[in-house]
Order: sequence, then C-alpha cells, then structure tokens
Amino acid sequence: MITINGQKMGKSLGNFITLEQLFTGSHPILAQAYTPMTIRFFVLQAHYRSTLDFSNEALQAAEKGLDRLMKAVETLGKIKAAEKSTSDVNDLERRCKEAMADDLNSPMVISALFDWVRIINQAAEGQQSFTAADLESLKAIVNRYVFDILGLRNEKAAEAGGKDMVSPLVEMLLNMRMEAKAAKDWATSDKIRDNLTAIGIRVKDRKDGFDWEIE
Amino acid sequence: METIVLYNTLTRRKETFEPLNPEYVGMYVCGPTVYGDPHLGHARPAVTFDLLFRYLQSLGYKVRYVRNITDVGHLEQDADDGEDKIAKKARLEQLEPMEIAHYYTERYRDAMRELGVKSPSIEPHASGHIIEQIEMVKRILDAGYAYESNGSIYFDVEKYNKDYHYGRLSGRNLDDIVTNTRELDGQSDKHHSFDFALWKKASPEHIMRWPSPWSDGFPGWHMECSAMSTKYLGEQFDIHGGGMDLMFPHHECEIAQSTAALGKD
Ligand SMILES: [Zn+2]
Repeated sequence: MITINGQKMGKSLGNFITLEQLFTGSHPILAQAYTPMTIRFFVLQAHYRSTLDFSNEALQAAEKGLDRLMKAVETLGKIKAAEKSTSDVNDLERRCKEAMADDLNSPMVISALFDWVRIINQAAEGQQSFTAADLESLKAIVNRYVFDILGLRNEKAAEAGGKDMVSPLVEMLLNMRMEAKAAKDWATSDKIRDNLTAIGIRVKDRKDGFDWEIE
Repeated sequence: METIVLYNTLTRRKETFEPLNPEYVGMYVCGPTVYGDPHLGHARPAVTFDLLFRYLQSLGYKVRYVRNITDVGHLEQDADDGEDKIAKKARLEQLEPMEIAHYYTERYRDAMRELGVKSPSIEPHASGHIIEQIEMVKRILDAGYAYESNGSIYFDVEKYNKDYHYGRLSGRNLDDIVTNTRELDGQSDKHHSFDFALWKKASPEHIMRWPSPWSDGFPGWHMECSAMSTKYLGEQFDIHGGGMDLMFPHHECEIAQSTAALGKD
C-alpha cells in the first residue's frame, strides 16, 4: 500500500500526485522536485509488501542516500589496486544474493551496499585496500546489483556527460570553420555558422578566434 | 538455477519458485487504465515488477513479461454499470476515446522510462483483443458458469462457487461477500449483485462498442486479463502480478473466469 504523509492517496484528499508533478516539484505538498531515480530508490528502500509512506523528509533522505551510493560507485572507479585486500568482497556478493533470493528483499540489498559504501570510502582514504582482482570483482558486483538488478542510473553523471559532449563537438566544428575561412572557403564557413544557429548555438567571431553560446 | 523464494498471495506463504518449464518464466502483470496521467500509485508496482523482471533475467531465465494496457471496459468506480473511464475523459476533452488512450499510454511509457522501468516483452491492448475475449466468454457460457441477460453476459458466481472456491485469492467466502454487497435495486440485469459482467450490451450513448453474438457492446473489465494472459502465456503460467488494490475484485474475477473457461484450477 502507498500512503502520503500517513494518509491514503485520493483525488478528494488533495494529495493525488502525478509522476510529472513529482519530477518537477509542482504540487503544493512537495517541498521540491524529486528526480525519477530518487523515486525509484525510495520505492526500493522498502520491501514490496510493506506500506510505503511518501513524505518530503523521506524523499529527501532517499535523495541523499542515492547520492552517497552513486558517489561511492564513482570513487570505486578511482581506487588503485594494492598488494592485499583488507575486506572480503564475497561478503557483499553473498549478502546481496541472499537478500534477493529471499522474496526480493531490496532493502537488505541496499543496506549491504551501504556497508560497502563505507568500505569504499575508507579505501579511497587509504584505510582499506584491495588487490587488482578483488577490485575488479567488487566493481562487477556493484554494477550488477546497483545498475542491472536495482535498475538505478547515475543521473548526475549522465547529465554532466551530456554537457561535456556538446562543448568539444562545437569547438571541433568551429575549428573546421576557422580552417575554411583561412582557405577562403566562405561557403563552408557560412554553412557551419548557419547550421549551428539553426540548432540554437550562436557563434560570435573574435579577432583571435571565436566565442559561442547556447541560446 | 539458484533457489529463490517468492511470496504467493494465494497461499499467503513464501514459496520456492519453480517455473513450469525450467529456464522459462511467464509473467503477467496488470498494467494501467489509460485515462489519466501516471501517478505515485503506478510507480510502485511498476518498479517492483521491474525488479523481479531484471532479477529473473540476471539469473539466466528467459522471461516473457506481458503487461497489458486497459483501454476499454474499465467503468467508473470499478463497477459493472456507469461510464467507461476512457470514454468519459474523451467526452470531457472532446476527443476520440482512442486519442485519450493513445495519449495516456505514451505518458505512461515516458514516465516508466524515466523511472528506469524496462519495457515488457509484450504490451497488449484490451481493445486489440476483443475477438479473444468474446471467445473466452463463449467458453465460460459453454461450461455453464455464465448467463445471458438482456444482451449482457454475467458470470454466475453462485454456480461457480459450488464447484470451485470463489474468493480464494482474497481469502473471502461467498457468504461474506453476500453480506457485504448491497441488494440489487431491481434495475439490474444480474441475478445477484455479486455476479460480474463478462460482456456488456452498450447503451445508445456508449461509443466504444463491438459486435458480438449477444449484442453490440464491450467486454467486462476483468475479461481482458484472462483472455490475453491465456493467449500469450498459455493456460498455465508462472507469475501473475498487480497492485494489492486489484486483488478484489479484479484478480479474484480473473481467476474465476480462467478457471471456469479452462475447466481447471
Ligand atoms: Zn488485470
């Protein structure tokens, strides 16, 4: 069952919240917008047969928790291998496996993952270490449970990644335009500028090169 | 394959999951009635069954996951009389019912994609399976568990309950159901208030209608799930899911229909 601040959801109760309203924060009950993954993580934090009570406090806690988890996944990618391992990576695998096999106990999977968030963060600080082989299996286990089975995605990284791709592509096109200009190929030069303008990227020529901005 | 246990609502117990055919899992989940924006109530079952779908796949099962779209037959108050939820929205918005269904199906799919919910293997529409539903109504009539009344077909709950147990999923007995349902007001075509519609004759103002041997009309809300699960997953399949709010009457009626039509529990 689902409740909102302990109440049943209903059109007449004024607490009927659509997913779009959740994602944009546009409902009087909501203190802010919540991303789709925050909602997903929040749902997975409770066992599927238990009552799920939505509140701003609970969703904000889920948002923080998900953020910590995703940061740890990123941290894990940066840890350097060491001579020996100070924690047993099979412990995470065993706990996640048992929890899922016991009537899809996703909250237990998440709690095992959080114990390992702490270990990963300690490893980044040099208080724990892993061999190259253990690091590889730890990454595989984390990816399997976080992304494949719980179905979460790293929204912040995806967002940042999307922005990062635009800049180098625009710079590449504008450098080609500089070369065209240098070769007095005005047709190509204008074509690149006009096409960029058409998709909403304004190009400004400068003495020493160019500037651009997304309109 | 790894041993896993899942809760079975029918037995109220966690049970070791053993698919009918090793390696293959057939799973049917009741999807949305597409007449409004997807809301919180849609998110939870969708994420839960997505978790199960992903998990079974990760174990190596080949899963056929069928999740329907209800675009016809779901009446106001989940009742047997009244306006179709989609037709009502269409009337208010001055659109075709199928425009409403299409629009809100897309809205649902977009929201599910945002939530990381994988698309099911098959997403059948109730309106695309009218023939299958009529065939199943015929089978139930032939088996003697339904009756015709003024162009509509109703499920004969009392008759069915003599041979099987109506209420076994929701843990009810017909006696409790009888005391908890109000008396018929004399306007109804039903023999008993607890009987439910398999096929409804359309009133003149009802625009979503199809020809059938009994009347121009439309299928009862519970019919589509029995017909489409049988069509795509066979007469027996492994997992049937949906929100708890659907247990009674929707899933109870589905079980009764399928059992009556197929002649076995
Ligand atoms: Zn259904």
